[in-house]
Amino acid sequence: MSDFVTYLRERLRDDRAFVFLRDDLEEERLTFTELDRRARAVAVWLTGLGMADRPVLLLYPAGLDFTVAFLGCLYARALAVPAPLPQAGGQHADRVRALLADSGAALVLTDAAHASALTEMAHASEPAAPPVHAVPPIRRGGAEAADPPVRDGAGAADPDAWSPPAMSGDTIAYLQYTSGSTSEPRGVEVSHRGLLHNLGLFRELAGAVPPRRIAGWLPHYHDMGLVGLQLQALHTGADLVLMSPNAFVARPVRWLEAISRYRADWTVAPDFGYSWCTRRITDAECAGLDLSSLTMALSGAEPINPGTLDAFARKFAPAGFRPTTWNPGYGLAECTLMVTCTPRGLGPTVRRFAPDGLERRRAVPSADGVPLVACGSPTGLDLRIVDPDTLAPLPDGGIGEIQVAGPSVAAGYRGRPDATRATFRTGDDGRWLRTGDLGFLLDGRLYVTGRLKDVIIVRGRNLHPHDLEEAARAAHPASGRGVAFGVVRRGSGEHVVLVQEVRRGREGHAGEMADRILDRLTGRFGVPVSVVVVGHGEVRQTTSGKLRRRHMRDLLLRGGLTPVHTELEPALKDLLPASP
Amino acid sequence: MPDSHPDLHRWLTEKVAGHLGLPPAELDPSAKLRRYGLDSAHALSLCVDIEEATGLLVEPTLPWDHPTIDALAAHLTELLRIRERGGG
Repeated sequence: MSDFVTYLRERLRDDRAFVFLRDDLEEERLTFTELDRRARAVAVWLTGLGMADRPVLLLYPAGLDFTVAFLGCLYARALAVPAPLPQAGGQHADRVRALLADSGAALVLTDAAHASALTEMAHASEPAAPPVHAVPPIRRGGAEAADPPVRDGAGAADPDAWSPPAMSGDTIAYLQYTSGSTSEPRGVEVSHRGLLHNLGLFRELAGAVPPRRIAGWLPHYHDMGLVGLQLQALHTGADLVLMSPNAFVARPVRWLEAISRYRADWTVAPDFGYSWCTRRITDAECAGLDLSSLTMALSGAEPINPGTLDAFARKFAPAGFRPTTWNPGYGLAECTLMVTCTPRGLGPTVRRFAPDGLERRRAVPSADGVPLVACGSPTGLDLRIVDPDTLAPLPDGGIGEIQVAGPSVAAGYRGRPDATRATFRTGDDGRWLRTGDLGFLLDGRLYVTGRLKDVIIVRGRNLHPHDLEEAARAAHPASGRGVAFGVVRRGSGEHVVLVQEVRRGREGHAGEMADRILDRLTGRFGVPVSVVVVGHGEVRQTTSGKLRRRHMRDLLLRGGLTPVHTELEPALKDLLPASP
Repeated sequence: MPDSHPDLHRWLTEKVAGHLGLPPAELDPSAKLRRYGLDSAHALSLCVDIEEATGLLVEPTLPWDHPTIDALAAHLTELLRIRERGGG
């Protein structure tokens, strides 16, 4: 079996469905055979437009229309590019412009409700922007009609006119734009072989009995939402019960109610999702839940806090949640999704390590040390830990860069040969993905301890320092060079810190500048930000002009900066001893 | 800044403090809430609280557009006043 489409179509069944719970709790439902029928119609239309092998940008709200359009692209051998739906003037508008340019998308697909606004947005900024189409198309003459009148575009295409295009394992299925900043987006090329291999690894986590019903809320443009929920459900033949990320954040109990009501046995979320439930769900809400059907709760996409696992398990034990349900894992889009994950039934492994050892990049077990959650054992992929400087493999317990090899490793970054060569290293010993993450192996299990790359992860979302720095620079005329990085606090995860220069002679404006920057950054990125204003020339660069983010972080943490002004969020009040 | 209803002001202070995990007395009603670590998830939750308690439909950007307790309370008081006048 070499491509996902053939694999899926050989296993289509009418008794499995995708169910989308709308925010008003109404159900939308499509069986696998109906998804397939609609996807074939979309594919016939896309093929007619000459979209084979061309990128198609998918800008959809949460819902089943996305799934139909995504499968339609795969069925037409067009490259699907899932991305967040932009709001006018919102944080995603710049990103969409960058993705259009980087992917070279020939077409934009969206749902009927957003087609005209997106057309306006795309063509206001770029007259040569590709056309925007609604799929499924806008219904003319009575949206309530069970069988609407003949329509144009994808709606008029005959699903039975579809014939499978030639595809091999090497054919690129879609581009995953999770990595890379807005100004330098990186589309990970996921091949059919890589996708099938990674979905196979996922499936093996369940053991002898495949999952029957998956429930979740992760967005479809996130690798864990796309592969971990949607494609996993299709691949393994499980029902999928989906809701929008906003519905979850607004009322987290809805997620657990969906698990209860639909008797889901599998769910997937970042650490944030579980801690949000623990914090926000009231005891009264908890009383109505029955989580006894759940046998797998995957946690990944951001560092896993052992406190989150404990607190969730304690809070929801009366609702039937069992600690053995946890499946902590580690992965990244460059490996399709999953690298390692704890299989069903084993429960999490949490061990403690001496903090000074961890700082010296050596994992030394210590009874009263720092607790770390194991992310499972490598199976089906090769994994090694190497010294980040010498690239020499490290023995067990040595902390270094996590590198991965195997069929799940992506083909590269689309149209970026230099970035591809730097991250996907081919040598005498094979083709190894440099994950940019730090960790160690002990007793066959992987522990993730930190990061070499500059990305900051908050609530499972990747934030790129460059994007934060650019927004800060543009926020106020006194604003000079700045560096953004993450600072980790045990229990509350990663926090964004900006060390920002104030221009020479403008020091008197430092407070006003910080205020403006924080308004801009918190509004645009939706995360708390702390800012440390320093004088001109304090933000260091390398001789080649690259910002030294890690160096600046070390300086700040060691008290080596002399701030003119600081605004720290409560979790970071300890950062500067003399902070006002 | 127009007056806000004292009960609404107190209720908002308690809700926001609850979301942020801080004692209500620590919140300066004239300080921007982002200083206390307010993020988009807290903001959305606060909007849900407001909708449930008042029946007003508010945009999820509300806590950024009216960034202090004082500003939020005044804005909501005004919205409620408009609704009453409109007989709604």
